[in-house]
Amino acid sequence: MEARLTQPSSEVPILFEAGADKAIAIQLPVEEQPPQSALVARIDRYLRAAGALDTARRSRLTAATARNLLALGVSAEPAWAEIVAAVDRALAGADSTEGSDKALTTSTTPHGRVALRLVPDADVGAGAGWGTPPRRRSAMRPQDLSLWRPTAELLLGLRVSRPAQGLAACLCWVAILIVP
Amino acid sequence: MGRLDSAPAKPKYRRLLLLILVLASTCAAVLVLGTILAADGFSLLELAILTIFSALFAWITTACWISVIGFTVRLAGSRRRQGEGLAEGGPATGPSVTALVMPVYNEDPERVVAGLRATLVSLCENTATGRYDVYILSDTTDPEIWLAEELAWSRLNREFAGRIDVFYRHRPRNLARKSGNIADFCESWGYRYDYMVVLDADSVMSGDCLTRLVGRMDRNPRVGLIQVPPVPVMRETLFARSQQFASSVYGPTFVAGLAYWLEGDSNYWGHNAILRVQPFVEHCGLPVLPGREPFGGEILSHDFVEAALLRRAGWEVWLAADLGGSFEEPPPTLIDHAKRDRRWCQGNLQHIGVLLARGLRPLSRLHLGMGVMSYLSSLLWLLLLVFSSLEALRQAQTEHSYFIEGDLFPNWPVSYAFEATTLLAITLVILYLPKLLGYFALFTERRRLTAHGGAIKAFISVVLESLMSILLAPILMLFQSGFIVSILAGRSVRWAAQRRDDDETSWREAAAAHWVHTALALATGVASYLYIPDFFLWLTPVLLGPVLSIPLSRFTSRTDVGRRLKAWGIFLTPCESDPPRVLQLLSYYMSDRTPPLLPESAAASLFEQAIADPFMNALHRTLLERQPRSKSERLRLDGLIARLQENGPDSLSRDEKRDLLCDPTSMATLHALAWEASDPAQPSGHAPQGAAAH
Repeated sequence: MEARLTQPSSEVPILFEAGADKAIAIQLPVEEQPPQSALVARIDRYLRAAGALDTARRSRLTAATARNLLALGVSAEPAWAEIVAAVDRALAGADSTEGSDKALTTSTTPHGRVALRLVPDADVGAGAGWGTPPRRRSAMRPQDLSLWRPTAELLLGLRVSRPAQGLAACLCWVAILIVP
Repeated sequence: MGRLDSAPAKPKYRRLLLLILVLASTCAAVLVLGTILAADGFSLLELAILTIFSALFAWITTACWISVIGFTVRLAGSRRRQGEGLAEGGPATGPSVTALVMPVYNEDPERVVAGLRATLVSLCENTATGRYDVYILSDTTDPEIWLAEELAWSRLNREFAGRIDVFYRHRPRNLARKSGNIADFCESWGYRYDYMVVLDADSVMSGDCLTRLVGRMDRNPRVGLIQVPPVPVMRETLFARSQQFASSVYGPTFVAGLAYWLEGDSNYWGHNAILRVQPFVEHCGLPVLPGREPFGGEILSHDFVEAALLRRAGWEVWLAADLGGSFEEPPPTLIDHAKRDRRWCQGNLQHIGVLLARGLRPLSRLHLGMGVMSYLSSLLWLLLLVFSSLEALRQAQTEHSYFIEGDLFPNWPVSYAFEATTLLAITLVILYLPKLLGYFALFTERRRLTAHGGAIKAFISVVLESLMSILLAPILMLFQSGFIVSILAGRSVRWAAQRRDDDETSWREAAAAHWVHTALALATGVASYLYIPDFFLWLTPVLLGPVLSIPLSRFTSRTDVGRRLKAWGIFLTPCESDPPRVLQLLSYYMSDRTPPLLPESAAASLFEQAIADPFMNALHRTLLERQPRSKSERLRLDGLIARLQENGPDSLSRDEKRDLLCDPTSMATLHALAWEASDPAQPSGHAPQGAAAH
């Protein structure tokens, strides 16, 4: 079952549009019927609320979710947390084309794949930080802004250029002769 | 890429020229005032007046000479000269990767996305080489705005899928405010990019401007930062339109002058600039200043300091005065302008502690000093008025003594009316010459003149803008002086989002903001009329604005007045009369605001929808980064979930809602609980409240 989910039938690529604002691209096998009607109805209701409007396509995703639940040995009346996680896993299975995403398709923690396909080229395998590329920390070192203080070396090493000396001398003459 | 040790030699004569012009005119003015004041010898009060006057005169003279230089440069032809230090042709370093980063903090998500959308569409329309990614870096603390940002981002992301990657990141803790937000980006994803273009929440940049900036960076490997002067646009209140007009007419001349003498020693204004990422990461980490706020702590106005640090490391910082296509929105009202000034004032005064930092270049220190002076000048002006009034009072109460003991000849009073009038005239010329030069510069480009309404309407606009600034300048002086006093008293600024809509100021709001100004001006007016009537008339231009500040503040905030003047061609700018494509796009997107994603459940808050709606819940959780939580924290969050279940969302505070939203486990739990609670155990059951009924 898991193999089928992670290696979807290539003949039937299915895309369901979840309304104008919610597009979810899904690929699923279509050969099986949903096993239990009550469970199916609950999953169907959830998917409808998630924006899966196309009945045929929704029913395929419902079937995949139900199968996923049964494969994990979940009871016939699973809790909503399990259903949500199963929908998530079903979508992960649909997203994964290489079958290498076993951890995601068996995870009991929902990763929010109902919205995942909105992110182009998202790194599904990373499992986290889908909104952004992977982080690689390189700290920005705080720069030194300590205050400059005059030192004795500065005074000793002071060199005044010839033109500056000339200008200073002129100003002194002006101060002595003209200003008074 | 590290420190650049030997910068190429720069022609220094431009800076020397400006220094000589400023010093010579200031010395001349001080000499004239000194002659007047020294008639009876200097008193301490007169010395204080002379000192403050010289500082203020140097300040306004600098601005005036920069405009004169800018006018000359523009007259000389010279788009070529303005950007001459930066090569546009020649070999580039190869296709580069650029990130457009937009830090946001409790801003209107629809406006943010509309601006980004316009920028990105313009970029896609441009034949851009290299790759561009976009990062919306949210520090938003309001849960509803945070969720709205995510929805808006999801739309933007899909619209540009396959062309430009748009990423969204929310920081749960807003360390170091905006500079910390950018630093977080640089530390996490800086390795992926050669350059980053920093945008403000209201920034819009054209694709042409962006690609040319990237091209200049590619071809000038010594350049660490290029700032494009942002042109204020899109506001319709009278106050904002007059500011937009002033910036449009006087701005280019001033900026051309700045670019001319600063060259590779320019400054960074915090946004609408491109930065080379690696040197920024290596050299622009900001320290926490020693001491307590408002002078110590995190550096608020980070931009000037970052430019100074880049320069210290040898990287050039340029002002691209010749590039257009860079826009921002000004504060809509006088009160909003003052609120922004309050933040900037504290940030700039904090630079006093950085002015003498080791190793900074002299021009970087000058930039920091000018930033301090831009607010300190208000307080100095106020002190000059107070001291001048006291001096006038002293002179009014002193009778002239014609016969001095021991002197045979009478001591005739000497009139300095000519000197005083000349000094006043010179001051007025220095204040208004930049405006006139800006106006005359319009005649060098016929298209610009027409876009400003033509010669006559542009002149009327200049006169009206000057009248408005005469009335508003003293009010801003009082505002800024008050800010400085409150900062010196140790009151720190709160980080609040800037208002970016055109809501008018109410009478109540105007009265609350300006009653002190009105009272102060009335008291000063009455006192001067009673005790120094000769001085009263001199004071009236300064007192009139504050006396009328309440009605003025309300009147200038009116959009209908702004629009009517626009219809008459007054305060018209090219961005209004002939808007560039990117602004047309922005206007279109702003008018075509997308309705809420989940209209059926509009009654529920976005917080409730994020709990119940599968799409929103999933979208939100995909964007969260998992953080380890302590047991006590987990217990606290579980307690919040229990309270939410028992008493509903209104029982949680904003911060508590935010805490729940930050935790993916809590959001998954809440989502399942919401569906559990609404499960009627039958197929036809309804989705929980807040979930969309698709």
